[in-house]
Amino acid sequence: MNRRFLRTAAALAGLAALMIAGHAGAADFVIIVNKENSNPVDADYVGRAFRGDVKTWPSGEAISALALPEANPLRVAFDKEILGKAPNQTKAMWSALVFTGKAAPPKVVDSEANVVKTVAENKNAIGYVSAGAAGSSVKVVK
Amino acid sequence: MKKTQISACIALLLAGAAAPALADDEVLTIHGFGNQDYWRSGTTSFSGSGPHGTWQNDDLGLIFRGTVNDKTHVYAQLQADATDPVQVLWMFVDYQVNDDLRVKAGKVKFPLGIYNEYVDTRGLQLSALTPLMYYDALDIVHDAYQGAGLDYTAALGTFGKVYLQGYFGNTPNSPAPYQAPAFTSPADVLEADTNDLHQWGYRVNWETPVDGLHLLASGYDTKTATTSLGGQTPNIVGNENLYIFSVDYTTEKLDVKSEYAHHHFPLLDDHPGLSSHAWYLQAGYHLGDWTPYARYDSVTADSAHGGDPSYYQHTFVVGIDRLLLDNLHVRVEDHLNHGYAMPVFDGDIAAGTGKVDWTLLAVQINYMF
Repeated sequence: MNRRFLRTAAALAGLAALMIAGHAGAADFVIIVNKENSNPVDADYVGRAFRGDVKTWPSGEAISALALPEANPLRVAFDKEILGKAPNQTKAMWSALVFTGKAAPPKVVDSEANVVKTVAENKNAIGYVSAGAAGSSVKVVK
Repeated sequence: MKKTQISACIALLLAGAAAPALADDEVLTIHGFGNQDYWRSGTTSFSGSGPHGTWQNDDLGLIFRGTVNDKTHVYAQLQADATDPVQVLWMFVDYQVNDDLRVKAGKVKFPLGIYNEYVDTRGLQLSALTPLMYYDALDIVHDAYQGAGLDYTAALGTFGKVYLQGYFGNTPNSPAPYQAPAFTSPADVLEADTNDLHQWGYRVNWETPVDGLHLLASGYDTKTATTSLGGQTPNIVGNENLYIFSVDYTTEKLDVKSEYAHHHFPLLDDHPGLSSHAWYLQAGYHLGDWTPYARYDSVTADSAHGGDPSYYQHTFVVGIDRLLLDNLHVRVEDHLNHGYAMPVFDGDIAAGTGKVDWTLLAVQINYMF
């Protein structure tokens, strides 16, 4: 009985550790821009760009924001930390802007690799990926 | 809906589906929505519903965004429903002066209340049927103005942010007269033709420091020339005006909204005019893909006859939303009504002929992309 209890407890502890590790990993994102992009970028500016409050870089060129799919853990972490919203709130906010003729939402890119690829190819793009996925083809700004 | 209209809309929707939403640097972005309703009412007909129900309430719409350059965009919405042909609901040019200021010109959806700008996109709303104050029949909130406007955003530091909108123009059907729904009493129904001479309006949307809480004030004032039916010479020039106060509190789980609207419309000669008011309080709670919600709705379509059930309606709505797929919702809701102003103003029944207490069942499937 005690052995079964210990096995169950160990399994639960392992599961909890995995969940904590997964959660910690999910929040571990970096923000990337094109290597030629020399505009000053901080978390506040990124948030304003992904909320549609600013549409151009300080240099005057249009911002091309890239988002990961709604269910992606990085998207959840980014929306929470940078935008202060849950993905469903972000989606509602952007839908309202789209359907009232105010803005176009960030382009949803299906994978971190494609975010990196698009940012590397587009001087005005900005996106977020996990730290390990950024590589040397883009500039990490946060 | 006529077959040609359906075909046109399906073709447009397919075109839209084939062209997924694109980023800001793309030339053309297309989004769209579709709503299909089933309504069944117990003893009082409303918008075609009756004991056997109706599927006639449907909408298809497309929203286009064209990029002229980094600062200039063109927006348009095409829409068709069960009774109207494909029409351009709004179309305007938007110029971004800077991050805080935009100017626009063309036919622009009225920035009124919380819902008016996306009143047709049901997927963005909590319930199947919009709050009563947004119904065309009540004539409180109109579709769009033709003219010019500006949007300004001001950061208030620790006090949040405020979005200011202002515009000047008139309603799109000016100068051609339109039939105003002018009711005064069952025995004294006046009909009037009106020309909107000019109009100005505003909306102040304060994003408060409380996360998710917005407070809004909006309205317009229209200089209106009213003539007798078929008459050519305006015999009264008066001011039609509207104001709306709104509270919107939305968090990850909770969605609470409440609005109050007051509208005054001038009538013929020495008649004091038609005043109407409406308010509602609604709340929903997100439980994963399920969202139960409830609303209390109240309209008084003519304040001069506030005690007559032909001119007031109090409605309690309870319903549930199920998110089936990404952006595909199914909703079922029941309306318990006291009074029958909406069927009267919608032209379904004559004043004095409705049942005071009646029910309405609404089932809706809506989709947007």
